[in-house]
Amino acid sequence: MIQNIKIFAQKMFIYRRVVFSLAVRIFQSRYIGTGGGILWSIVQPLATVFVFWIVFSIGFKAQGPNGVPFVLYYMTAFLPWHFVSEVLNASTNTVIANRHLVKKMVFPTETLPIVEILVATVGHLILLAFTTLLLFIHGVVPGWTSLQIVYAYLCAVVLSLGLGWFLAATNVFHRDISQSLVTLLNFWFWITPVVWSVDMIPEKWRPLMMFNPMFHVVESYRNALLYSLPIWGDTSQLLIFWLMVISFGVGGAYVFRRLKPDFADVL
Amino acid sequence: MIKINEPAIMVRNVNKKYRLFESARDRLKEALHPFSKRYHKEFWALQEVSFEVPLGQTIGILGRNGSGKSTLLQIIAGIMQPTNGEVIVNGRISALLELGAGFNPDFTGRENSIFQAEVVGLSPKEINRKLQEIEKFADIGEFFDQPVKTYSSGMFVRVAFAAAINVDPDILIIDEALSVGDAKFQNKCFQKLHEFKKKSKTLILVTHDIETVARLCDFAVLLEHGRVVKKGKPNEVTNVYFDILFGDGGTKLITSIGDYNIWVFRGTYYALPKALGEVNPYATDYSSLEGVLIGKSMVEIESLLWKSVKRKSIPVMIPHGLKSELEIFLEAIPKNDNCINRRSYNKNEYRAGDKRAEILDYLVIRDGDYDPVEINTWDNIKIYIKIVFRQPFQFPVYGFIIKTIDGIKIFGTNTWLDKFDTPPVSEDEVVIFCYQIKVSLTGGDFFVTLAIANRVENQFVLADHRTDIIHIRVKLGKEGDNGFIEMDTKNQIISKTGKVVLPC
Repeated sequence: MIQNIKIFAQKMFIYRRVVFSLAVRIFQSRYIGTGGGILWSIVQPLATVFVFWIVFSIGFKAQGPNGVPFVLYYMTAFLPWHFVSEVLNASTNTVIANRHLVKKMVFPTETLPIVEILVATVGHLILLAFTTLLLFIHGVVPGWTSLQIVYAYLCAVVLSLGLGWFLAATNVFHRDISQSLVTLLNFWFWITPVVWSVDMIPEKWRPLMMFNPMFHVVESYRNALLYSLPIWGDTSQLLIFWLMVISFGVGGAYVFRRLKPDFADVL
Repeated sequence: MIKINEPAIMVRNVNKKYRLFESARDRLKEALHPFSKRYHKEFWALQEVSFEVPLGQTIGILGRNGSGKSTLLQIIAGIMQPTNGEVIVNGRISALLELGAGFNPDFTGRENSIFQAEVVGLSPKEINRKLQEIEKFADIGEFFDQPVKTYSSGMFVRVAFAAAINVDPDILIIDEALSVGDAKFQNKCFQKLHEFKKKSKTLILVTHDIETVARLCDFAVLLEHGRVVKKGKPNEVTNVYFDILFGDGGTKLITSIGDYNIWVFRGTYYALPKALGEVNPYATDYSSLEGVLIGKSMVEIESLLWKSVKRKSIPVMIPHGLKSELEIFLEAIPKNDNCINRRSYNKNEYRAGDKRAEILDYLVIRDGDYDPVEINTWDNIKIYIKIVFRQPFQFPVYGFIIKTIDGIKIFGTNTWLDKFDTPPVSEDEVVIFCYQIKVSLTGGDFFVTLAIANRVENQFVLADHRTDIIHIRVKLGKEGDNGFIEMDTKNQIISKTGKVVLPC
């Protein structure tokens, strides 16, 4: 396994420029010919944020735990959620969308989910800037803990990479994957405390949350941006998360490697 | 990066199996079946393909459509995995499997070229330098900085080719990409390829064009039904390729003599001892089998048989005797159309007429060479045509036309125009008619049409008109595009001083 990681790292190094410019190309081509350009990458998520804000904050008069304004509570979790779901959606179709690279060129397809991560990161950074602005407006001044955002982002990346590999590879053979992903992501959204708080569920069920890897990602973002708490507060949560995510990564990479030789046959 | 003493590419026992499913559901069913039941049909696109490409050589891969060339290239390029066997590549490959395959229509020629160069692994500095070469080579002016979608197909091809060949690969793979662009650009491509060769880089060419193989390659491999049927010097391989193109590509049992079966396979005659049983011609190299005799014609094989039999002093009946192919032709009255069994037969012929007479068979002869598929300029050939008349013809007219591959008529005549008297024929009569032709054609592919008509009331009534029935190739005598016909030219210089030099 170590050997495989080494090979992959070497490939990533050799193809670093290709990966980067492919990401730029994908990003550009998405907004080429539009007047709004890069702005479109945040219009859709911001519209979602707006709708949720109206419904929960104004409609239901919802409050975040400990009197945190709902919009901040929601925004700090929506930020990683949006990133992960973007990457998963894009990764699922990435091999098919780039079939010309798979079939006609010598191209390391395993880097494609990473390309998608890079693409999603652009929108992610803009949303992060927006969130920071929102925090400032509400008088939340970031302390040193906000540097933990790097760790939180890493969590989101590792989680979506492993799953992305798995989805990208299997979707080549069974397109049902991309169809069912929308529904699955919807479920996942609601079982993750993005718009609701963990306090709302009975105490005895709460440990179950640890088995939702998104929980740790969301909490890390909130710890970094909103609560100004160190992320190592809950060690068992941290441990379980990394165990899960690493096994996703290894599993995803394994599935991808197994299926990769047949890509060109079916595309 | 390159190991000097090793071949550039080693292909060892490569097999490629495709799984063919009736539907996507079958694929899913097979993947999920608990006892891994098979829902697919197997298709072997490549079987036991092996060859080596020495460093710095140019190799041509020939084969008909569907013979497995593209699959092989994809495997060599590392895009596809072989089912078993291995390919070892020594150096950096640039593959032109499809021109501009990696191009994004929304981006400019420059951006796409940069991306192409990055995929091959060039550094930004190298890319900068190469980019100028690419731009110069493509030579499409300002369009280089316009989105590719605005290009004409010619411009597209220019940029794509320029981007692929100028990235300085160690091994370049080109899949039928040369037949693009105008003549000037093609010439430029050829020059570039020659330069490439001079730098002792390895080139793999896949093409239908035999001339290209002959001009550029050191070595050729012929694929048929996914197998290597011939590898070696380009001209040897192209000859076999010809036979496949012209013939049906399969074997035919002609007759058996004593303990031998006589087979014809791609224009070569084989006498196989019956003890060998059924032999798959694609799988076996006949010449490696023991006791097999090989000849160019039936006559040769029979005389060889005669000799080998004599040597072993085993009495064997030879029923055919030593008849020439012409004698056999003149004697036989086939029940069905025998034209289709000729090597030079073009199965895309177009047949018309009221069938009151039918062309049963034909035979082209050039100095004892029967049914050749390739002839030379100024050869004297004879075309024998065997016709059966279903009804009496008062005034039969025999004719033929020679056309180029583009369908341009070069020459045509008939017995009426030639004022050649043809006797009337009665019902069920079989007539053999012979044209003698001096071939004054330049190199290229030509098609011969044969026709038989009846002259009734000053009108031709077509009985059997077989358009383009014979496909024959005239060997390129000299380089260059010389038109269609050869004229008996002589050269002369008249010097300015008035002194006349007469070489002829």
